[in-house]
Amino acid sequence: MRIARGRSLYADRTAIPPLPRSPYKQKNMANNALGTVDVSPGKTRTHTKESFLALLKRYREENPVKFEAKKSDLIRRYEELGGKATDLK
Amino acid sequence: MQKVLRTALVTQAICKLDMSGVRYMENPYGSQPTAAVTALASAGAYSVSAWTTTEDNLTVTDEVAYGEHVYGFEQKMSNFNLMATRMEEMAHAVRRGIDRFVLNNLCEDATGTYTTPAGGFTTQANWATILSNLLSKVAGYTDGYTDTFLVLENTDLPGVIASQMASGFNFADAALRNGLISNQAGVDIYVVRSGTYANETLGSTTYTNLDHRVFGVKGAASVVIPGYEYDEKGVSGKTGKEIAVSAQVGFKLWAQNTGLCVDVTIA
Repeated sequence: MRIARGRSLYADRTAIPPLPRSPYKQKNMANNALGTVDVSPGKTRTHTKESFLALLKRYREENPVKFEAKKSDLIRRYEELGGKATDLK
Repeated sequence: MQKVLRTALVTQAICKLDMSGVRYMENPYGSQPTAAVTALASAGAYSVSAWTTTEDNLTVTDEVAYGEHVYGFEQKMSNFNLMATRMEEMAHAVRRGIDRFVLNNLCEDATGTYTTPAGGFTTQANWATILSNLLSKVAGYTDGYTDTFLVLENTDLPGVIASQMASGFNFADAALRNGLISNQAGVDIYVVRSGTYANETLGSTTYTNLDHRVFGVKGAASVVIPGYEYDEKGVSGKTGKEIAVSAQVGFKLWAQNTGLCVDVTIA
């Protein structure tokens, strides 16, 4: 990956979009709801019982099929943190 | 000035990466036709089947950003170009953030599944079994003949390297000379640091990938990074400059390719 040195983020927003150089059709689409990824150096999340439960609930909501597939392993990990499977009801 | 220890980045090697400014990709797919075989004696006619197309697209959903402030005195009292050095480090941190985001997405979206024998990658005897099972998951597709990849964490390597060293004269010789982790049985093996696959919410998506790894066919997924900028600015009340590095990122494992990637569970 290269860094586009000297490019201004803000100038680009008002400029004419660049010509499509991709084989795919390009649409000039606004994305107003960007999430952010924490890149604090050395960041690795260590979960508590509560934070892992919150993560599991969110994961179940976002990805129910995969949740079911991974359920037994995820519940085992949750129980290792002191939780009970019934907390997920 | 010394560099911070950096982790290897793999996105560019395993995905189609577009940094041309594209922020949306439209890539629909049609239903799969199945042709019938008919004996010539009764041939000459066919039935017309209904077919459909399904929308599939990539949008930019997340941003990776990091910022620091270098005071004027810090820059002036240093024998090194602090601004440039910090900027490089920050740019790498952002790239690492993108890499982690992409790998976890790829692992999460893969529909192929495989559970290793007990002991996972660290058990020498498992390695050949794992590789052959993984290759069988994507064999038989035309795309299965292109390059494949497996992204491991560094803690997985003991079994892998021990197995390579025990695998015949020429092969073992290459491994012993510290060269062979890179490719085996046609699979390009990439190694990232432990903690890359995580049970975590990164940006807009939640992942449960701890003790999972990803295997697949290269180029099955697309990544777009429409903006990758650094910005340095004077801040009121502070000498020196504030530096911010940011990038927007979108990921898509295309619907037709999900079976070309395998979510590997370590037993």
